[in-house]
Amino acid sequence: MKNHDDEKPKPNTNDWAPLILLGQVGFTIVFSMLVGLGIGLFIDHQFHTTPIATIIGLLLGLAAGVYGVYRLVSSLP
Amino acid sequence: MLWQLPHIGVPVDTLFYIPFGNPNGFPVSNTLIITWVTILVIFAFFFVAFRKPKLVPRGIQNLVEWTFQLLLNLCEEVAGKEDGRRFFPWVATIFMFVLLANWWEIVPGVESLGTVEPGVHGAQHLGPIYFLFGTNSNHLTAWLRPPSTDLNLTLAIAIISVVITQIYGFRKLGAFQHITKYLNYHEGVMGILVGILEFVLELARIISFSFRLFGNLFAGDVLLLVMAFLVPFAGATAFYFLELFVGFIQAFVFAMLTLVFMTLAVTSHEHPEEHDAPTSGHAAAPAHEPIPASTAA
Amino acid sequence: MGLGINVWMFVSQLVSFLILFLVLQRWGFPILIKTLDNRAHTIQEGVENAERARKELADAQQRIEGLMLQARQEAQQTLAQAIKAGEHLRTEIEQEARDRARQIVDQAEQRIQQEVAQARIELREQVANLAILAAEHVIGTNLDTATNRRLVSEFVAQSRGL
Repeated sequence: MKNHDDEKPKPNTNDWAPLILLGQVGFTIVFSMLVGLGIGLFIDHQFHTTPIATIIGLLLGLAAGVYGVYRLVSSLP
Repeated sequence: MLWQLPHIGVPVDTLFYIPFGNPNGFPVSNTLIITWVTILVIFAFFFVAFRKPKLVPRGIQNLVEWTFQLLLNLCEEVAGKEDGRRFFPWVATIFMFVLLANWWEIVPGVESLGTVEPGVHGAQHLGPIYFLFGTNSNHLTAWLRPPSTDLNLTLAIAIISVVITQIYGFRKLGAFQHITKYLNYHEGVMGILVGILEFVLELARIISFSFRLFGNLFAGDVLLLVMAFLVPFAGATAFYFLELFVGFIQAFVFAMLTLVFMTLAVTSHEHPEEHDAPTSGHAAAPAHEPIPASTAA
Repeated sequence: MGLGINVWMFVSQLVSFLILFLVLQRWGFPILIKTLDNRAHTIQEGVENAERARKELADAQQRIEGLMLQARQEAQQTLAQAIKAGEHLRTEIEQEARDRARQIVDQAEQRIQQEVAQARIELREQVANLAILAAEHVIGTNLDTATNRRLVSEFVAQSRGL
């Protein structure tokens, strides 16, 4: 099936996908940390546990960012 | 001073309220108006292009077909033939809408036509039309503002993109497998942790989608206004071309990311290596067949 | 909120976009996809037709070339045959002419010899008659009998100088 598709001469627009995914890498880390931070601040605010949940949330966000980057990079061809 | 740098804030201005829905009325912002104009422009494009479709396309039909043919090829290449066609309406709608929404920032009159703020003195008027000059020139509530500089819009499209992606993943992998992506209890603590991380990632993706588009376009809008202020008349023209390019790139990136994440969502997360063959239905089929002796050896 | 996020504005933008999508999904994209597929189909057909036509043209060209080669060979062959036949005919005619000439010459020679022989015979007879007449004259009697004539003829035949 793949070979059949390759027979047709087409502009190889697929080259764009990795480029854009790589561009997403930076965003993933930053925004994951922001989300984690947001969740942590929210929990701390609700339960008056400052700064435990904030720190945990930040770490969780960082972990999510790294995991997301790993997933993005591993999905690259 | 010929004119002042206009006030441009992140929140959009509400022009008027329609008495509907909530006690204050339904707010109509200056971006919502352009959102609707954009939608009507897209309808008009489709109507003109396909009212009498010709085999050899000319003019608008040619333009519309050429654009969508490229998008369709892109979808089929990234997601495979079947899924590509399924994702195409979303990708194409997002691309076309975001592109036209972005390009509003170079249309004359956007951000410069509006209602004079109350309490402004020295406005010159010609009949019912008022002109603002000099230090007063920024006392204006713009009637029109590019929709992409409104976080409400970018957030709406980002949420639609992520939610639809989830729905496709849900449909493709089935409810159980899809939910175990977030509640991965049978792999112990690590599984649950990864589930939480996945959830954080989805939220981060919504925010990154919406803020990337918003940030680029808002910055572009401000850039154009500042340049018009610093180097009036033809001086800002070069930046108009830059903004055309940025508007295209951001629309393309938004549509592309939607497409790529949809493709990732319909490939099983338990077997990430199957991403190489994203043809739905075919990937699962060989698993039921006995492995031929030649390949096993 | 500082970011200007407002539930109603958000909902209105969300609904606007969904309306755009649903309208395009219902009326816009089906016709678009159909047109694109038709075009792709037509183009592919056109390309296939062109390919086929080119192939047929090439075939025809090849066939024509083959035919021309064959024709040329045949012409060559025919020419060679004609030349050979002509040569043959020429030698035949020549031979015939030569034969004929020889025949004529032979006939002529034969006739001459015959005539010579005839003349000789006649001469011999005349000589015999003359001799007999002379002898009759001399003897005064009739010698003209069969015996005498034979004797004289023999004599004349013996005298070859005549």
